[in-house]
Amino acid sequence: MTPLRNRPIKGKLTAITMITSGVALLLACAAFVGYESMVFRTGMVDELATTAAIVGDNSGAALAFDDPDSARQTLRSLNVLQHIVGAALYDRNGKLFATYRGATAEAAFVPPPVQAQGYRFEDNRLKLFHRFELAGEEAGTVYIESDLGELRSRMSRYALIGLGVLAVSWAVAFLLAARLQRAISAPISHLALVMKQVQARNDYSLRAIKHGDDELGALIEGFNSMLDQIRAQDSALQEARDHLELRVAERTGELERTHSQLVDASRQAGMAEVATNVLHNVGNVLNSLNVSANMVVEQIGRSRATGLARLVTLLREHEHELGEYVVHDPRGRHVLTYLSQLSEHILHERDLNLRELTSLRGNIDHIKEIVSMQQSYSKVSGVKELLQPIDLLEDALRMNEGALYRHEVRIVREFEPVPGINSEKHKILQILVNLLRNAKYACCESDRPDRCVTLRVASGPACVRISVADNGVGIAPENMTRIFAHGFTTRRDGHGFGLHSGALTARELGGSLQVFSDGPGRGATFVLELPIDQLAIAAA
Amino acid sequence: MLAALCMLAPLPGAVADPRLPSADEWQIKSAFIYNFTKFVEWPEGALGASGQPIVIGVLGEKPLAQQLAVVVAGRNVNGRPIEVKPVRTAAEARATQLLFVTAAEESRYAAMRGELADSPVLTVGETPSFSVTGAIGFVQDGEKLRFEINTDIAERAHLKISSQLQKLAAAIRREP
Repeated sequence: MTPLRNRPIKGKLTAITMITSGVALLLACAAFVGYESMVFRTGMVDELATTAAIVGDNSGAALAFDDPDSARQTLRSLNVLQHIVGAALYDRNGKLFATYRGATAEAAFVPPPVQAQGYRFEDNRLKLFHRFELAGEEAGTVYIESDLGELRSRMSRYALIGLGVLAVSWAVAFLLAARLQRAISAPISHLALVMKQVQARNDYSLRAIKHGDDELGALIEGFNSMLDQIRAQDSALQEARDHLELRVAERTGELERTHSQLVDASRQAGMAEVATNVLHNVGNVLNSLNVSANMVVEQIGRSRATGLARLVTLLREHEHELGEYVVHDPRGRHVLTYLSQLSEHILHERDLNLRELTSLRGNIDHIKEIVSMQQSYSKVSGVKELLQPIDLLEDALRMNEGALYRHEVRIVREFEPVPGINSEKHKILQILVNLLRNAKYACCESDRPDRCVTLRVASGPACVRISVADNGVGIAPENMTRIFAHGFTTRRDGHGFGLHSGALTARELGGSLQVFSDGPGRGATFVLELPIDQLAIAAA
Repeated sequence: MLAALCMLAPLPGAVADPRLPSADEWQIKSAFIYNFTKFVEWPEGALGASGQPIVIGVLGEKPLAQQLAVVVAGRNVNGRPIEVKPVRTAAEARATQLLFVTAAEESRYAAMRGELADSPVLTVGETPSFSVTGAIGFVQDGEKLRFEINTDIAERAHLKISSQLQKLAAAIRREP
């Protein structure tokens, strides 16, 4: 059974009414039956006392004149009273004088010894002693014993009637309660229903209907006004939210504008970077180019071509006797020797110049490539070709040859045979040229006499590792992390661009650029790793 | 009843005259005589003011009157004490409320009867024949002492004899 506190109000009200009325009725019935019992007992005692008094009055003469027969006759008149079990008459000295036994007495009636006037309920019997007088003198005692059958039957009848009344009253109370409790439960149920609907539909426009001006009415009114408030707050919130969206949209627009401005700015900054890059790389090549051009100029300045012109003048003086002169004249005999020496010289000069000019042309090609590469900077993928790492390193060396030679930097080569790589030549070349220039610079900065740059080519796991190690000034540990940052440099005339650009390019090519150094004065090693293109190997 | 009457037993040696009834018999008779006063209603004025004694007159031997006096001593009826007097004349008899006539004196009673007829005196005699001329006469019924009542004589004396007493009577007589 559900405990009362969990039952609906309707059930609660009915239960309360039923319990209250039931208890009240039960108490009333109990009081009624109790009172009736008391009244009946008193009545019984009164009746029995009266009977005893009459018997006493009528027995006076019999006692006075010692006539027990007459006394018995008097007692026998009690047989009209069915409930009297037995009676006895005692003389004034308490001696038993006459006895009467009722016809209905189930047990043999034995008169008790005489007692003082009074009565008692005992053994389901009412026992009464009555002392009587005759002419102002004590005459004797009458004892009457009555059974309580009537009391019992009357009480059970009353109890039955009480139960009947209880049942009928309860039924009527139930019907009344079922009807009347609606006055309270109906508004509450209605309120609960509306509340559930509001919850379920989230609809704050619903309203409960007020039934009256009692506390329930006030409750419903309060509920409705609460809903009003919620609704008002809801719409205020909605408005605020709409407003917020508008403002967010505005802010977003502002941000977008700022962003595009920033993008523009960064694009310009990017262009500046590109320009710096181009100028830097071109500047590197121009150095080599300058060296080559100077050498050619020097070579031509020292040319033996003037000696040839003097020989031509000498031969023209001896135009007529050229044979004689060449064979016999002491000076003329040296002409041929000189001529052959001269031709040797000129040939040698031509070779030197040719070499410088070839280098010059290579550098110019490189510049051209740099420029064209930067022109198509946005196109990430450049032209890929099969390259031999050692050849690339040699090319880079050649471009820096003059400078290295001038600063008396010794080059050590430790090349292992490696497979070709499929990559972009000029990008790699730029990195290598940069690394060599940095190495040379680091060597020059240190005071040590044995300036040396060690170049290594080796194969790593699925890559080719090219390292450039110098024994120059080295790198302080605090700079190790910053060395690849844009704008970082330790050189007086540096841009802080070379290594930054190199690292970016290496990554662009699928490889990496790393630096190792044991600290200041202990040299540095830059390692460029480039991936081996498996397809390219198969093709080679 | 005998036991009850024993309580009233007179002094031994009181009964000396052989003509007189035995002590036991006389005691029972005395108790009866006393008890009769409880069942008789005298006319108004016959008993005097309340608290005045009821006088029992004895027409007969003096010792009998003395014994009766012992029996009724200290007892009263409806608040009146009992007084026992010996009676010799009709005038003396009229002054009593109850006149007991012994068997030996019945002839004297017969002589004064005419003078007593209207007086409110309950006449009690010792023999059954007494109830012919008196109100109550004792009758011996085997072991048991009983009595006869003459209602007409009682009525003539303006006395009412209780129905209870009448019920106990061995016989009720009317006019002789």
